Amino acid sequence: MTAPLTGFTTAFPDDVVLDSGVLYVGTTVFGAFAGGLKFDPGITYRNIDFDGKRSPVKGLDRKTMMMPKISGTCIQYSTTNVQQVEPGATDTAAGEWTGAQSSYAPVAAGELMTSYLADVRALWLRGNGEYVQVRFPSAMVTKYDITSQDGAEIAIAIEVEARLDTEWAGYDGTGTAPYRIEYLATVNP
Amino acid sequence: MSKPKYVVPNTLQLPSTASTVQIYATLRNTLLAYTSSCGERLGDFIGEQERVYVRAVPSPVVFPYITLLLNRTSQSAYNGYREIATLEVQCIGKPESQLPLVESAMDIVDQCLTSLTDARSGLTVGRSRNRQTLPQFSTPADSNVVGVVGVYDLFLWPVVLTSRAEAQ
Repeated sequence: MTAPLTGFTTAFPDDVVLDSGVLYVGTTVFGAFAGGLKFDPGITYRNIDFDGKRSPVKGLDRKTMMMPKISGTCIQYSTTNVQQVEPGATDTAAGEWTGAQSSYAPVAAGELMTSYLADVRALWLRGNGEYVQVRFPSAMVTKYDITSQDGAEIAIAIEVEARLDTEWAGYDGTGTAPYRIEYLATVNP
Repeated sequence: MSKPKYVVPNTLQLPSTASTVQIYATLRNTLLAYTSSCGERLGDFIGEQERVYVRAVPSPVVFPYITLLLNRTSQSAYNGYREIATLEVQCIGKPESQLPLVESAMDIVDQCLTSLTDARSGLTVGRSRNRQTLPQFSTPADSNVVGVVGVYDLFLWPVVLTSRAEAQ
């Protein structure tokens, strides 16, 4: 009798990754999400062309662009979250609605952004009780929208993009990947 | 002809998902060892005699007690290796004044089995459940009996998958 072919090994129970994961900013949870987190490294490769080329050729690939992005749907909207999804937004009394407890003014268009999130981490549980994470040493929320719905939590769809920080210890030229994939024994070692 | 085999106390190798009997025993030990976020254990509510049984309670019956019933379904999508194991947990008390004990015991079971990730033998994961408090019985049933039934969906990768993988 022949058993069916499978890809399972003795390492599978340890290496399988479970659940939706949690988004952190540094060592602090970003918030509660509905559904899972999606990570897209956004890598573009170019296989160099030449006259007579009939198929992509080994050794001629070059990674030309990286646009790493984490996306998900958050279901809470705290004052901290406002400043995370609106980089640089400040609580200001000027122009606020009378009686408002706080009034966050987004950064004006046309200005260079100066406010970034440090160590954004999409963190997932492994079968062995440890963790794997994708970390953006520097990042910003580049897109979000809010959808409310009857009888359910609010849905804030966010996209966080990595930004290469030239002052980061891991920086080694403009080709440096602005993200890391890391394995952890604890959430905040 | 060899003698029939019997499972006697302390002969099972645990934790293990190698057999249904071992899965029962592993889950039972997991429930009894679990400490809630409030520092409570199952034994605080059902007694230190650890009255957690498989399928039925032995006589004489001492209340409250818990019974476990496991249904295992394999999925062809994973070559039959991944299973959805439905664990029915019944906590029964008598007289009616034991209802708070029964509900509290099931709270511990809920916390334990909805946060379960056990990779010590194969992989057992629990995240969801359906829980119901039984209505008061009427004649001919005993109206003094109280009970809570929880049905827990576990997904289970029995350890057999890795032993077969090694043979490939």
